[in-house]
Amino acid sequence: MAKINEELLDHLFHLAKIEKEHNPQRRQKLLNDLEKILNYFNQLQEVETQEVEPMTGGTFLANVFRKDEEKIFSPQEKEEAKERSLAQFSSREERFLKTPPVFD
Amino acid sequence: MFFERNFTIEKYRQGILKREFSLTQAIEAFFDYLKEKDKDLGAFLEIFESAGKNQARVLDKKLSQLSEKERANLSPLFGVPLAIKDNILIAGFKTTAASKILANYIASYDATVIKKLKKEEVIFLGKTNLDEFAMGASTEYSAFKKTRNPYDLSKVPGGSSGGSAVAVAANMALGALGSDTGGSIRQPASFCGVVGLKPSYGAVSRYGLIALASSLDQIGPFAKTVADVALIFKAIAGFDDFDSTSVKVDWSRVDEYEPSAAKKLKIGVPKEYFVEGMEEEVKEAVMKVVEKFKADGFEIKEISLPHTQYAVSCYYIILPAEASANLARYDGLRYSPVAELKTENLSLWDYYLKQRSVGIGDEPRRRILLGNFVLSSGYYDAYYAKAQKVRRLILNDFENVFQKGKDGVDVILAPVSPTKAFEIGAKADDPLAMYLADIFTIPANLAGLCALSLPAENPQNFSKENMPVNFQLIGRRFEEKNILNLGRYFEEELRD
Repeated sequence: MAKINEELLDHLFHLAKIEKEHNPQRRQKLLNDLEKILNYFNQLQEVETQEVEPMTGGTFLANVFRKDEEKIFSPQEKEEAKERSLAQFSSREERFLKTPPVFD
Repeated sequence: MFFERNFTIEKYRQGILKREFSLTQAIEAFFDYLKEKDKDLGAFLEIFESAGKNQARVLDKKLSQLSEKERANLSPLFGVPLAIKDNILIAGFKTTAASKILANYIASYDATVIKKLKKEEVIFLGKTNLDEFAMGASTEYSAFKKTRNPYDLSKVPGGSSGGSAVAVAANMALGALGSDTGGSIRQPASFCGVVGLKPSYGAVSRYGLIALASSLDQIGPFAKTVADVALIFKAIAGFDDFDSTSVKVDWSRVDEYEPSAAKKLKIGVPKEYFVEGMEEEVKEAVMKVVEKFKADGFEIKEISLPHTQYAVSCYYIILPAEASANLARYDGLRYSPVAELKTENLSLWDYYLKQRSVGIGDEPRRRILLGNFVLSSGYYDAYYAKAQKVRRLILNDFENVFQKGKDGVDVILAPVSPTKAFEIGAKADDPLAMYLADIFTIPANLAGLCALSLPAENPQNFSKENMPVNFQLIGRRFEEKNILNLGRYFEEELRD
């Protein structure tokens, strides 16, 4: 079964958009923890699942589409909600939301 | 009076109707009490003192203008002080999920459950502590503070909804909301000796709940009695346009108590839930409950759920997979940045890295890495696809025993956790040990069933020497009525 080595760990950090762990002790602890967890998962291999349909979600219902139209909010509620959402953004200039440059 | 273990929502209502106290007096007393009490317990992340007191005055004024008849028709939750887990959005207030990455985030809208509770005119006391993003079983993984078990301050309250369980157990609130993805309501209810309900998947809207694992999450209530839990559940349940997994079910009579119907329910006790390594006291407490049902004439059968032993593996593959996707939205841009970070002159990529690295704690980080691993090409089939198949087998196990007719049972009676509350620090450094503690609660989430966690003996008997222990009643999907009815029967007719 799979083992998470140093290289794979760095790749996972990259996928997770989290800085690599540089502290050697913390890094080793993380590798050990993940290895222990994955070893435990190996018990699943003893379950016969050849004919089993995977359960892909929590519900057995078909997706229920609704029209893409706004509802419930009154004009005042809408204005407040908009203001509150925008206020959470890290940086703004007038009605624009500012992010760091996407391209260097 | 307010701060006794047997002071319930029902008694509070009688007090209001008989004019024994005004809401202003009651709510002031609650805030005074909880501010003092919570110094030791750390259940609350924020309290809404001025908003709560204002609301009480508004409701008192409304009361004074009502006729007797109108008063009697008020919502059963009118003016009831509730605590809310801090992963449920209340517009205009901070919602942090106990994570640094959301430390400054102010919710821009109300969760559907909050909207519904506002309609019932409850009073929110504040937001309660949890494990970061609801990942944990002890509330020790909160980025902000430790929450302690009210019966023994050196022990954990359970988790992840530890703050909500403690708020109710220590009489600081008459009820609370939590969320249960793998036991996060039922297990802290057990460690603190209060009642907690994990509703069936689809019974309660998840709109406005900070998502952990979307195919497993459900919001549910805590309270001191099954009757009170049923009242809160009835108020929050129902179909919601904003959650496409919510389901139309008639909940109008879910809180009605019918002892004669309870007596007809067939109970199954799964042999796989009495495992080695389980604490003897827990086993004894649950067996005593079984004996009480038996002595009262209930039909009790031993049943088998053969895939139980695979539930933890299955869950800890599916959960990180879903969580790693759900937590990808925290970019330090849209939900307010981590304040103390200097981020000028960074590229967008480095900005993300910095914000997420500082903002996301060890346990969510571990689960995000694990989630990325089980979903990545080369490992997907061996882990994620395999877990989805085993999840189906776990569901099939339940469907077999829940068959209608003479071979099936209506309700499963089982322990909630293999242990009572453990010492703070005992498992915090060993993630696998922490995961294994979820063994009895996870299966109901994987199968989407409802499950009620309630004290195995009179909570008045719980103490530091006799720490709380609950058992759970698991029911068919959307048959909350059965488990609430049976739970109430136990509480009112059998317990002591």
